[in-house]
Amino acid sequence: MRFRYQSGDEIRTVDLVKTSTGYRASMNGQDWPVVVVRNEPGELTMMLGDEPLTIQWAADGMRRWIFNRGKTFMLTATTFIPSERKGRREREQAHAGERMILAPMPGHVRAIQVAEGDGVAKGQTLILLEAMKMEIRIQAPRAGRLKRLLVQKGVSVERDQVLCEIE
Amino acid sequence: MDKIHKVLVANRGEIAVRIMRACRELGIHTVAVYSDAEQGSFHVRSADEACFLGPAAPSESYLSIERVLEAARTTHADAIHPGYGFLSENADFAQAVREKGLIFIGPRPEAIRAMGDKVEARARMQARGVPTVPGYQESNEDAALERAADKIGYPVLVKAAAGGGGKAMRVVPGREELLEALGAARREARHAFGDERLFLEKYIEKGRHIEFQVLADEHGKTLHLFERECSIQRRHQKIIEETPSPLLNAEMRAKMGAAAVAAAEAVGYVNAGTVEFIVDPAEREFYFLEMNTRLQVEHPITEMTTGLDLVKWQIRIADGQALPFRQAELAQRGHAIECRVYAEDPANRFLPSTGCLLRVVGPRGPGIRLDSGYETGDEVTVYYDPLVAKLIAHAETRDEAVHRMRAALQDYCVLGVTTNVEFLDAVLSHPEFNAGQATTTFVEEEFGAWQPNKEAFTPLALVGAALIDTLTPAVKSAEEEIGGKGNRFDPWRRNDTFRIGAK
Repeated sequence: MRFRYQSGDEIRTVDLVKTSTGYRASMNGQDWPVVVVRNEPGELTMMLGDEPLTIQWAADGMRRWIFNRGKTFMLTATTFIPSERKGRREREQAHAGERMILAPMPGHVRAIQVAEGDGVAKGQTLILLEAMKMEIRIQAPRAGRLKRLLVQKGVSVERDQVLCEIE
Repeated sequence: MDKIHKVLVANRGEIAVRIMRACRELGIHTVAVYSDAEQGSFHVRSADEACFLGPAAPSESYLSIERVLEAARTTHADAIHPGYGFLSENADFAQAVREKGLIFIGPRPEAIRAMGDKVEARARMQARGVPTVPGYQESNEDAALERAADKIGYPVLVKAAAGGGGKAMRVVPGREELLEALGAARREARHAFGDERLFLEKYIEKGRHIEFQVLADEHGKTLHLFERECSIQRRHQKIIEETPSPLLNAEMRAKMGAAAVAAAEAVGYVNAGTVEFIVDPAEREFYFLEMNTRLQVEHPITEMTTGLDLVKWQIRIADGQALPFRQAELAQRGHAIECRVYAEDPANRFLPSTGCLLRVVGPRGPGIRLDSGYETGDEVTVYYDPLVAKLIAHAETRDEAVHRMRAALQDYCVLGVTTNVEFLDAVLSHPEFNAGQATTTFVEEEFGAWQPNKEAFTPLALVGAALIDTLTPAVKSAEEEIGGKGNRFDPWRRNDTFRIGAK
């Protein structure tokens, strides 16, 4: 069976084929015999070639969290075919990041220091958020003009909610 | 116990759990209090009884004197332990508890009040001959503060009179930045403490933060339980603490210990408290910073090296018992380190991360202690401090304690939210830390651009994920998840870490 996992902007494929003793796993032109020696809820031990490896794991929707020896991996199971859309997606993302200012974490809008139509300088503080007892300054990533303000003083915002738009 | 049979723990998270454990060992019943956000949380599960306080916002639950007292009344508790944070250093609360005929497990309200006002505390210490940092506390006018800052010399530290825990504190590098810093610190101080008075201190740039644990009973005996070094900080908040301090020799330890006892006695202190000093390592001078009139987050390292259970002694002292040992009988045994495990992203300005802890597996082994506030399935919310747990390692020498801690960090699995575990391990592996020379600016200077090892596509991770998806039918396949959710290319429906605007 073929599986695809995404991390950041990259997607990798791994193939798992059942054998008489376990599986044959292949990725990046390499392959290994794999035997599952212990499988408990949230914990799995495999022999990857000659190496015994125990992983702690959890799944959350499409996310796969995997832990081994101080390293935590978060992969997202995906059906994206990498070559198809990657270029365009990256362009869209880069463009949007310059334009839309998002809340880095959930919190409350404590103060708004700009108005729609104002010119803004790079690094200028636009909005003060309060989250987890801290004051977080939302600053302009580049110079421009504040096109739209999408929040008011006192409202709660979710992580990644659009706060304002710069053009 | 004579008087204490049922303790209401007016706190949450790991410290509430830790206090309840001490109570259980002493045969005392425990009452947990909780907000809307924490029904069934770990501290609630750890108690004999639980009492609902109110909405998730701390001001309407854990910070509400009225509601905490009402909870104590309905549950017939005879004592209240405030833990740290929340109401622990609120003199009005300590007083209200006493007026209701209950025992406050902590110092008298007068001592809290005297030390809580940093300006008054400075004055009292100066009167008692305890050295304080050169500073200015006489006026709050911008102009006066500006003149004073010029005189003290930059960089200068702006602090709140009612402050603590690094809140409303600003390091000001030069005159140009002073007014803006005063404004921001005042706003933060008004918001956090309802008191916008500020004062100035000389900023000791390569300072070492060393504090002394004190224990005083109601019968006039005040002892110190040696030091804890807390120089490893990010944004003025401690992340790694250790004892003994690699900087102190026996002579300096004795001097600072005596100063700590004098500071506590100056305000008639009773119960456990901590006297914080800043040490200028070049001149080997120490200055009083403040006294924390409560149990400290990092108290376990003192427990490991002195063999004393501080929470139990807090309860015994509040019960009226006398300390049965003398200063000369106390000793430090071995070396202990604590790491604070936070749900935060060290690669993104230490911003807190929230969510469900999908799986937590703590490290075990000789000399390892884990004081955790969460278990698998618990939720880290936006409402409270993002401290997940404290990991403590105790060994014969500093070097062994560091290695023991690093091995334990590598065994500590927290899935579901981003934590600073890998970051802590990186800090412990740094040569400057290992040489025992790190100062309060060490993390900022050496780890400002720190990034975790982002190599996600190792054979272990990919083969592991594929095995999970093959062997566990409950885990949804990719097709299933995306089908039925409309346009699979819609970025707002994607279930991964994609964020617009993220670097």
